[in-house]
Amino acid sequence: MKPLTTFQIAKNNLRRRPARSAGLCMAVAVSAFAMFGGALLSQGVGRGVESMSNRLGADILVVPHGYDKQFQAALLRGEPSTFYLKGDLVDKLRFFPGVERAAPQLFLATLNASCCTMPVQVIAYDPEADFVVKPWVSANAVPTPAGDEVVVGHMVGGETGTEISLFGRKFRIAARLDRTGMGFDTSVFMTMGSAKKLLRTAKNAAVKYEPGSVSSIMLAVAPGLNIKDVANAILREYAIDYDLEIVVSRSMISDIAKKLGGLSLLSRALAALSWICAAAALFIFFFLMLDERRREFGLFRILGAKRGKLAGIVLYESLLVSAAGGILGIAAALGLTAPFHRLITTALELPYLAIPAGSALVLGAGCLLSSVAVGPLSCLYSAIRIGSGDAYLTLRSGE
Amino acid sequence: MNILELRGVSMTYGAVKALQNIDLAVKQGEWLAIMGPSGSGKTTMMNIVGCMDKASDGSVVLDGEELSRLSPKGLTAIRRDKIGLIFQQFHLVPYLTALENVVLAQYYHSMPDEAEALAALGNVGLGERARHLPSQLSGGEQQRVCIARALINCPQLILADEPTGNLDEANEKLVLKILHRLHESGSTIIVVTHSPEVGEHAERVIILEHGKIARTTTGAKLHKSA
Repeated sequence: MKPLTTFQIAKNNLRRRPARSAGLCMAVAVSAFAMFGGALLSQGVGRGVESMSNRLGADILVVPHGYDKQFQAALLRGEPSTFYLKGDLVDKLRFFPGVERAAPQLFLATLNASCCTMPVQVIAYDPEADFVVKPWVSANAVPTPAGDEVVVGHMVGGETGTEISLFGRKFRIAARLDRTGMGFDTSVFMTMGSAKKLLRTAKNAAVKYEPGSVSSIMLAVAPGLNIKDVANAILREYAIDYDLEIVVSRSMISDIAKKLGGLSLLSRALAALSWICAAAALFIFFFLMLDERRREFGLFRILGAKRGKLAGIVLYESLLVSAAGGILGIAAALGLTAPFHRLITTALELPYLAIPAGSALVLGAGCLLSSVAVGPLSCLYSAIRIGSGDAYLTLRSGE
Repeated sequence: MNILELRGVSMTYGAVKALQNIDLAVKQGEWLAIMGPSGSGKTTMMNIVGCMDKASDGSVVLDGEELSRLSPKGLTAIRRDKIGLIFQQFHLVPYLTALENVVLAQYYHSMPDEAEALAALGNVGLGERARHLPSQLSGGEQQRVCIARALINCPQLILADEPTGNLDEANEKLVLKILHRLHESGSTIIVVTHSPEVGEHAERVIILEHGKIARTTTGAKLHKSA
């Protein structure tokens, strides 16, 4: 037998009333889950937005009319899609007043599994003109891929040095990029030259390609100029002839940031609400328990227990319940947020970049502390009231 | 030598006089039974002697300590150190084993000693049932755990409130046998009961009526009159 202490008495009570203890644990677990899961999700999205904002060097994104949503989906979440703009627009925009740089990209969706190893978004870029993909590839210490090579996003399958099949042609995986939290993680990068060659010789007719076309053109506006003015000027000039649409990246990011703000607020509100609910549930439970266990506490008093010892039993019980519930909720949040974050962020149309393990640990510790506090705080009133009244009369009440 | 003395003890609850001017002395090693009908003041006297309540008037001296001068904290200490309580309803903690229930009394008294607690359970014939929860024990076994718990701290006075009230005949005999053994070993026992079968085992019996000692007799006489 373990030595009997106040802690042991509390532990025995919880252990030998498993259904009641499990119910109390669940109340705290739900709160910890909401708190930690919500924080993981909103911080992950925050990092995703920040990562995207840092990497997307373009001020204006030019896409075919009606494809702005597909473009954003490809950019944010790597949802494969294919769309084209007339290729001669690249040079026109490169020399457009106010435009400092213009870089075309070609988006090819490998939706047909028979043509390719897996459904991915192929992004072809022009190494000469590019200022969006190339700096980032270089930051990963990866050289521009050669003709038969591709650089793959962090989540694309296949080891470096192995081959990946795209439209019936095999490419060597030259390198894998770091996680970005956006659609680049599920994209495959190659040079524009390789892509055009690939499309010309593609055996599979899954992709219809109009020679010379591009999918989007990334524009950097000269410093000091108003981006919206330049965007409006481009629209006035080419919107009808080229059937194009313009996405101002700052507006896009600010829209995403607004969504993130909403998500953060929602997750905080949910966490606070569930904490309050858990605290209320525990308060009511311990308050009612005072009545249910008044004889038990009366007996303890008769055996010589001081009121502090009785309060200790209740405080330990609540502490154990909330600690177990907190650990359970945090483990569940970790277990569920990691595999399902993609599903959730896709539904919310938000980028996601998991927070580093160290930060998650600190966040988890904070959430655990907050969950553990809910028990003792909610039973404080009961702990103070415990043992009041006549011990023997209490013990004999109802006889 | 008297272990307990009550001098002019009265207890009133509002207009109700539960005890009126009681004088009583209990010798060390004596077995006293307090009997009487419901409402006669038995429980009130038990509460006062057991340090669970204070008399409205008069003096109560237990083992040389004047109880009426003590604070609730002081009364708790006396109750813990000098009195072993046996209840009609057993009052075992449901989530503690028989052994833990006995150790509990040690824990709130001084230092828990598992071997001593096991020996106490062995003395009441429950050595084999020490690891069982109260729900796994019969009524008689639960009462014997309650007795083991009452005895574990070697109290000066054993105070039993209807100790066989919830037991069948066989278990009643078993409990009375244990009380006899305790008495033979020199323990002072006060039993509050309305059962003549229990009262007749005592050396002395006082019968309360309307808060007063109506008469005093012996267990043997009580047995004969029954």
